[in-house]
Amino acid sequence: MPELLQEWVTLQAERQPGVAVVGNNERLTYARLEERSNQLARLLKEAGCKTGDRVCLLMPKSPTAIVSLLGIYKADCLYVPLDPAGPAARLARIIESCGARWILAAGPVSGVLGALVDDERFRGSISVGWMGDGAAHGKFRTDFTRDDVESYPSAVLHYDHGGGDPAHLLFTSGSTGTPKGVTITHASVIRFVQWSTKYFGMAASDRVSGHSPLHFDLSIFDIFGAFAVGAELHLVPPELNVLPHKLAEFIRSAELTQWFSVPSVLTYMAKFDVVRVDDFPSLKRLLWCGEVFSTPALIHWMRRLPHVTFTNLYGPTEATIASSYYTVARCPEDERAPVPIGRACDGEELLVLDEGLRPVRPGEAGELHIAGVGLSPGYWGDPEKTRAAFPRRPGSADPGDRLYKTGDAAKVGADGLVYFLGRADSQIKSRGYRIELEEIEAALNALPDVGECAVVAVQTDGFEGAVVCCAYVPAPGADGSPLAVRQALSAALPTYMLPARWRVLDRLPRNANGKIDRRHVTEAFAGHGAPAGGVG
Amino acid sequence: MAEPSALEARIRQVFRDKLKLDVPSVDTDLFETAALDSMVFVDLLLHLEREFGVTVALEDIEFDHFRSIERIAEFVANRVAWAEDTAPRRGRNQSIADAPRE
Repeated sequence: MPELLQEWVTLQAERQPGVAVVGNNERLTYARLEERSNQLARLLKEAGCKTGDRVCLLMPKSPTAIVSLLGIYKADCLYVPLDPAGPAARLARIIESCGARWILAAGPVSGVLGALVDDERFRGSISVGWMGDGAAHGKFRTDFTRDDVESYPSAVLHYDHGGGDPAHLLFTSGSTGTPKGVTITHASVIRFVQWSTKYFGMAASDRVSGHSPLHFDLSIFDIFGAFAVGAELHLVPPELNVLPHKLAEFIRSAELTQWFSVPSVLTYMAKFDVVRVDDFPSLKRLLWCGEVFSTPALIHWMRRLPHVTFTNLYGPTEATIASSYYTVARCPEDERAPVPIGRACDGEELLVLDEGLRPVRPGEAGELHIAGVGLSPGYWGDPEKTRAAFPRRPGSADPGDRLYKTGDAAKVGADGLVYFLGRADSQIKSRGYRIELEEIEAALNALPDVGECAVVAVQTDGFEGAVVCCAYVPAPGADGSPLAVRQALSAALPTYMLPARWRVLDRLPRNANGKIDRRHVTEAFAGHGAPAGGVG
Repeated sequence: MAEPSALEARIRQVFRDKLKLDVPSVDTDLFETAALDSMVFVDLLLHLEREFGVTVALEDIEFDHFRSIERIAEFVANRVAWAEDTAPRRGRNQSIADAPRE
């Protein structure tokens, strides 16, 4: 078993002549993937990238992106995926917080890349490697292009990194308004991939989906689950997410054997009824993770695809991809019966604890904690947040024996399985994205047009899951229309965090203590009457 | 660039008023700029049906129809013309606006 993620590719390149990645009208064999990533690693090292340096990736999901992230690992650097849809201001905060000096870029990212390179915080310290076809079109200097990469030797490199070293930083929404960088080691990913490829019986004949965006940790399983067994990874173009019938067509024509996505995609496809009975004859397993998959939508899928195995995976980024699993043995009969998050994966533990970190009685609700091989060393450059989120296990003398506080409420059922019950704080999931409502409020409060605001989530039965809604009072004399506010907010937050419903009010409803009454606002958006003081 | 047509201007207004989205120009690529996601898309189809009376069957939709306001205007114009000289019909797939919401 390899110690580093990239060694799986080296192994497959020696073993088999097959295709590793398909996407963007390109098919890359394991041999090409190995050679090109070796070349890139050599170039990065020669250009001055040192062991442990952070290297950002700013490009759409593509075979080139896979080459690039492998090249980063092989240069003993940390891969930091950035959302190519921006916005630049948020990406700049990520670059600043991880101290990256390199960006590898490709595709239609010129606007955001130009803004990052020009950002005065970095004072020209950012170097750009252009991995796209041809020259970059933008007002920024590129330090190398793809043509330069091809002039480097393609033989295997020697690595300084070991399994316990970090492989990547994944940034998630932070409640203070700044995204948090979760550090993930090679060993944590390898342990999860080992367990999952064995549990799911994955093999070289598999054709797996690459649906998640690269800055979302499910993509790490898509990529390395496939590479560990020598399977084909089929990257799903993100624009397909808008058209459910095209997603179904993709699964059909690529003859996928495995589909893995957030549930909202599956619910969207069910809503438009694009899956036929006995559709996707090649498909063996369908996995979801990231949020609750509603039981009626699951029943819809299971009735149409009786030949497929359905598995729910659960786990926050801080515990690497997923920490528990539950395979649904039979199509549920009761539409109201929740799907459990199941049992811990090999090497992991799920504990339901009270506030003093003591186990609660079986059947009682508590906060879910995770221990074991998936645990992140912590948040990049933030020992305080790390200590708060990763306490030492009570009674343990070993400082390395840590827990991760998920913030999820859970219970252990009479069947011995763990059930997710909800969140205690204002973190929500919308279309699988993890969002801190406080991050949205912080961004709104920074806008001159906004006086005060309340951002709430309204649960729907639709595919969207939770819908982000914003009630606000414009600043005196400001334009303050939702159009103007949304426009300004889109320069600070990614699209998936932008509120979908808006209300302009004279004043926000407050409770007896004078605090903004978020429950009242939530109810108003959910359709239970207008909020007090509203002019709509 | 040519002046936006009246239909393009009306569609841009739907984006502004209903979706709170200010699209810089009628040829802005809505996918590349990540303006169109599944949630916005479903809302957009609903508003196009309400505003222009075009019933859109899912199976008839291609990406290029929704790549920009220009393309959407062409699509709507074609559908309106088509609807005027044929009798109403129901496709195999239901119309998007008929799909249960929430």
